[in-house]
Amino acid sequence: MAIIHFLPDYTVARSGTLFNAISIIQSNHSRAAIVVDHGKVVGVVSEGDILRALLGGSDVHSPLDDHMQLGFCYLLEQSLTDAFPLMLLRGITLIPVVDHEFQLLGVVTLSEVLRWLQSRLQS
Amino acid sequence: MQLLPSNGLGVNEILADGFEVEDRIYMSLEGHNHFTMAKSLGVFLASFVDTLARVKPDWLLLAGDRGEQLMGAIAASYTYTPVAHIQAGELSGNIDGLARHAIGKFVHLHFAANEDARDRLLKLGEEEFRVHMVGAPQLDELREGRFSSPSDIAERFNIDPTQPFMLVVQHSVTEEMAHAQDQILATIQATHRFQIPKIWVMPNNDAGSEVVRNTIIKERRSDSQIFANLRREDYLGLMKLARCIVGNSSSGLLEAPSFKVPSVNLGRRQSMRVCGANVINADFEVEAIVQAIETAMSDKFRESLELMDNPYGDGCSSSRIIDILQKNYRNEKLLIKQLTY
Repeated sequence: MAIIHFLPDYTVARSGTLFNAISIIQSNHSRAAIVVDHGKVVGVVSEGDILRALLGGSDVHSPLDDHMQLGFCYLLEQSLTDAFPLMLLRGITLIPVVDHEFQLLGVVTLSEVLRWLQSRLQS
Repeated sequence: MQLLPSNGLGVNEILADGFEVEDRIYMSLEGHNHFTMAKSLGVFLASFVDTLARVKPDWLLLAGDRGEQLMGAIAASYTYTPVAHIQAGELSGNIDGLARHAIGKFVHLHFAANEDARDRLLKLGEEEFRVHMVGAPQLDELREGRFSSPSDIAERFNIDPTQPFMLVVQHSVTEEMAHAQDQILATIQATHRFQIPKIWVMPNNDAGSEVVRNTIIKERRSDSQIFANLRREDYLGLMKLARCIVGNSSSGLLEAPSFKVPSVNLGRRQSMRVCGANVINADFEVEAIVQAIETAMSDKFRESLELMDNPYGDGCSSSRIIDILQKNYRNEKLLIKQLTY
């Protein structure tokens, strides 16, 4: 059973900065944030992307647009079964769920996938 | 461009290939218009002369037809640094075509990919001993099989390589910058008509690229994956598996023929370049693009490519180029150019 997440905890506006993304990530505990533009998913920015940006000489007020990943995994339904192999193979911690037009419908987090696995192991 | 995070930090790919990066020149001014493009080249030229003075290379080897290579040719020529040019003498659309010919005037050796290019260089007044027909070296890695396998592609891009998908790469055309949005919209609308996955690769940073990039992101649907930049072996691996490549990248003319992959070439960016049988040209008009893609994806067209040759060479260029560079090193005639016409 997938959890219904409060999406603003996971999203940052495309017009934002690395600082905005860091603020979201430190509160959502998912090591990444989803970049949106009027509800449409345009990218994902992870802690790794932010560290790379800072190591490369950018500061926290740099535009997010330059550092987000355009190539990222997404799901068309909130399926933990589908999310698990993606997370396992690629080491990702947050997957957006989108509709056909790429509007954000939900997210799947690593912690809920781990909890789901744990409940399966126990049963 | 190789240093820009928004263009995918291509420098990392160069480092991963085991090369040393001698200098990192930041040159791109914000704005992505004609003025910033020209001024960025000026920034690069000013810095690159210092690099040449410090490094004193035996050879400067340029590949392609972009403004950066033209600046390299100017810097080397004026400092009497031996300089050679790969893929010299071809015709291409866009301002790149002008840059390629201008590079030819400054360099000391020309490596032409085919006869057409070699003849053009001679007609343009280049001395015969400077012009060598070697093929296009991009094809060497294709012949050597240096590209990602179908299983790697499946894992990395989450696609089923046995099912058809489309590779789309569209750059802005600098002379038609005002139409960049209409052009990319036409391509997007046409590709939407085909219910197969699309892999989009983002444009380079030429004038007009910002609007192309933003429109691709804005109009994307769930059957599209977008990448700022792909590792070359992944790009080639994807191309080999793709049902067709759509857009205006030179790779549709150059590399795609070696894989016998149909290429729908749009607009005038590659106009007048030598094309193999795999290329179908179309204007930036939705119905024309749809029709061209339909033809490209048809079994009949694919079958017709089975025996085609690549007009850009046999994939053995690198060893020829190295051989010629070694033989011509410190050749007394080399640095004093005479134009024959």
